[in-house]
Amino acid sequence: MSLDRFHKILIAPALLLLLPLLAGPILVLLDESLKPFEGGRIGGTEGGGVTLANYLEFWDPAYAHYFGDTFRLGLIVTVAALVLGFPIAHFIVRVARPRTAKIVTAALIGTLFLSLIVRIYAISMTYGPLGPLTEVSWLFGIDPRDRAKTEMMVVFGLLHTVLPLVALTLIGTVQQVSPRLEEAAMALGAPRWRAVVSVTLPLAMPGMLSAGIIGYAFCISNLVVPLIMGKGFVVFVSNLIYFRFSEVNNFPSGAAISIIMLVIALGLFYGLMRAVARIWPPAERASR
Amino acid sequence: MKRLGDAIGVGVYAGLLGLAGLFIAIPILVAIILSFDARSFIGPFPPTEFSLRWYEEFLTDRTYHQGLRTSLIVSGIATVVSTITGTLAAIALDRGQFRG
Repeated sequence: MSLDRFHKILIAPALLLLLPLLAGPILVLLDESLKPFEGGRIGGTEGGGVTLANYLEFWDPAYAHYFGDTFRLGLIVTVAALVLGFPIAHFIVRVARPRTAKIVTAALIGTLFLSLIVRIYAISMTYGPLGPLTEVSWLFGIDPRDRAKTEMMVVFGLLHTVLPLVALTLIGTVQQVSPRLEEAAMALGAPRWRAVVSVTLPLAMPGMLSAGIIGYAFCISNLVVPLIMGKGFVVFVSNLIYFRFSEVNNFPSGAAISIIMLVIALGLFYGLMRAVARIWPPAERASR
Repeated sequence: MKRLGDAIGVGVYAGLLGLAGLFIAIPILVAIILSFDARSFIGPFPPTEFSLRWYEEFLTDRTYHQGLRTSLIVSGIATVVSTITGTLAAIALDRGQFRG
């Protein structure tokens, strides 16, 4: 894989920025994660040799629920975002008049400009104990005094960002599915809902999966939402990493979890991409 | 039968759309309304009195101005740098010929 000279020069600035900002720190993290740690010190012991103890620590079942909470709540958010996001994208592309479509799209993009911290406190004020919609949790069968309420707040906090993100990504997906196929299904006697569910939706599946991957990546890497909404009851792996670095100064341990998360996340996304390529081969997709 | 299916389908579709819209809009509206709250504590919704005191505080307190300036400068630099390098890289990745 090689580019001609002109394009090499064009891509150089981006690589020069990514090297010290991304590759360098990951290597430093990897190095730190292999150092032994003595309690009471700041960071790992220099010259103490190489150890895998920081990694082995996380085989302990006590850590399973951090990973469990992260991946489970992330999945709930992603599925909810796809279920609610697909109708929005479909509405914008197929149903709305051009003017309405523009307004809805602009509104979705507008919410993305809201900082995460603003959304978090807005949601706390709405669904929190003093909020006007605090009773909503009963709809999900959740007692407001339960831990599940905290989980719901974390899910809502993440969903508020992920939903517009997924909906905007899905606009392109729905646009790529030819409206003629839906019309053809209806001309052959299928009711409209059947045309959407068994023609448009399956054809949009690869796009749904990539939108889901974007949303899921946002969820499992999030620090602020579980930190503020989780109140210590819901702790994501990112929070665990944060505690290790900032509160107990155990840099090697924090670095080891970071590397573990990086490997799990890359493995997950690589696996999903492979699955997508196998179920929907690129050639077949192009001919559709 | 066909008509009933369509009616249910349209109902579910409209329901999901409404739910999504409300979910995104309501917290933002609540935050906007509470920003005019005259009380100096987070009280039950809706506020009992309204005032512009929080806006006045933001506009007159210099600590906030300092923070605003820092945010604008840092994000300005990040935007310019990433837009330029990102655009160049995108041109290279799309127009460049990958050999081998």
